[in-house]
Amino acid sequence: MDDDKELRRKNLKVIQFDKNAEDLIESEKPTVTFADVGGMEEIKKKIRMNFILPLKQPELFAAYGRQAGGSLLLYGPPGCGKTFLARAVAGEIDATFLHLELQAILSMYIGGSENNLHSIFETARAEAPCVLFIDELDALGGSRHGMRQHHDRMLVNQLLIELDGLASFNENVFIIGATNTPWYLDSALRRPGRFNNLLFVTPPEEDERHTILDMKLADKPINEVNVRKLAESTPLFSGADLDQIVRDATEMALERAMETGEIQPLADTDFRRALKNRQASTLDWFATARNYATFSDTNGEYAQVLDYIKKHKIR
Amino acid sequence: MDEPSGGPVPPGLRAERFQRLLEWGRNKEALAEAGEWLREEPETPPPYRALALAYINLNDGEKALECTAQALRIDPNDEDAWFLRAVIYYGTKQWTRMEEAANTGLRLNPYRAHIHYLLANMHNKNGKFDRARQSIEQALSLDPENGLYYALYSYVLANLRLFEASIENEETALRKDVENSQTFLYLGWAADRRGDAKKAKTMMEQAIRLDPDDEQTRNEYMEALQKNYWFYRIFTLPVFLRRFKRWQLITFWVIASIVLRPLVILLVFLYMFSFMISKAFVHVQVYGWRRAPKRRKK
Repeated sequence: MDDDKELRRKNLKVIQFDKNAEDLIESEKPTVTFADVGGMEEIKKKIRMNFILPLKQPELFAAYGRQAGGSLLLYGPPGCGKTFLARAVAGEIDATFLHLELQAILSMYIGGSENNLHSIFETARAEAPCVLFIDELDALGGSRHGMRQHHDRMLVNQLLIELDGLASFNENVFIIGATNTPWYLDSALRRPGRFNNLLFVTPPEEDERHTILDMKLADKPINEVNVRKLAESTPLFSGADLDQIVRDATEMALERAMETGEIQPLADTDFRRALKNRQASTLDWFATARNYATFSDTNGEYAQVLDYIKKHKIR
Repeated sequence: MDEPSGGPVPPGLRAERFQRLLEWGRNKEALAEAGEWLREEPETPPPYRALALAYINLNDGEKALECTAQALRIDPNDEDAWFLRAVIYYGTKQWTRMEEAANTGLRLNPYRAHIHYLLANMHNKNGKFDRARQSIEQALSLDPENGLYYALYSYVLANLRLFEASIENEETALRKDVENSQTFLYLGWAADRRGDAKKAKTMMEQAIRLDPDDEQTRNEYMEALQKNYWFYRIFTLPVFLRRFKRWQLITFWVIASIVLRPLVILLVFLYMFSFMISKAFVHVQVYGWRRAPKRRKK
């Protein structure tokens, strides 16, 4: 893990837009690949088909009028690995990874934000093959209906212009958007050629939770912790939730260590107590998503969410 | 949203960030942003008002009220703080206090249309339809382009049984605002009052598409669906019965229950039966054969 961090640090470049705000965008060459992403087979298959194979077998795809590049929208509850997956896509195709957040491009000056956004897309084009990851896309490309401010609408319009460049100038530029709230996105962003590929990133399944917990516990003193059972009893927990459970349990073990003056390993009882006070943070997301999928989904885009809710008996 | 590392955020940007977070419904983050703002400007009303607004969105009326009190301590003539107090009291149905706060706000700024709109809502809720009409007409004279106000006007007129005028204002509301779920809710209720169950359903469908996460909107939509079943609708006070005053209807029922007791019992039984059957149909229509989701606190 440390080697990985070191490598990432070496590959890090800084593109600075607003010296006063000191906001920055990271540019790096990720080393993680799909092999590091547990589960999510359906999503990986779709990404391979749309992103990776056109780059590896350009002649075959050219025969069908397809070129490398394109866009993809990942949505799902927070803390379930959307960013990690995007980074893995970049690693898989050995591309530069640009991570864009709204606060990095917001400017106090009129037209400044749009200019910053354009600069980032220009950088992505110059660094092709490149994965441009737009985190919290709803913040950047939220519905223009609700926007009373002219400058908010201008930013969405600029994003649309940049995305439309996908067909002409954005060859080998892969744009991945991520959002927890796809229903807030401007409908224009969802047209073909823009973010028309919508992929639902679900909370980790039991095996994936087992792997995550193994990783989180790797450097901690543990005493006969039944990780399999713990993974079983944490359905719908996100990676971030599991991290919190391990942190809670560690705190309890630390308290014991302080009392006894000896190192106390983490035990099953610590996890049981931690679980009593925590529930899956994804439940709130599913409650909202269910409402949008049931009442507001005229095109059946969130049918996957309803299927998932049904399969996992979420109430 | 993380705090940028470059020291204090300029006040204009702080207000903008707060506004954005509220628009996105990220109320807890908006609250934190308002807290930061307050730390930077502790002796000015705007951060207190921002805090109050965030607490209103988080349904914590008591803390919201405290924040407006702080804003008014700094500036007793802060009309925005009085307006927020009126909103808070409206939410908690403290009508006398709400009216006091609204009137104080209007004394400071008689041109604030939204206070008239709030008063119209209050009167309409309390069945004082003539006063509601006066208030909403005042709001419209100050802001004649507001579709939401026309929608409420349409509803008030339907309550006053001025159905033609209600339809006229419905059309104006739809010309001016089709982005607000509350506009469609008012228009749905107005159509329902006019006895037009089909239009009420159409309006509620639009409302729920815009804001499916709002519990009231969901309930209203389900009710509108229910009323579209004829066998239930015939029991929900047909339009001709609405011409009568409440006391007249009660007298009619009392006499009928004495003279035609078996018929009244039969009607009550049929009403309950049609209610349950139509509710079950609506449930299957919306959720299929699954159980309804649990209610969750936001």
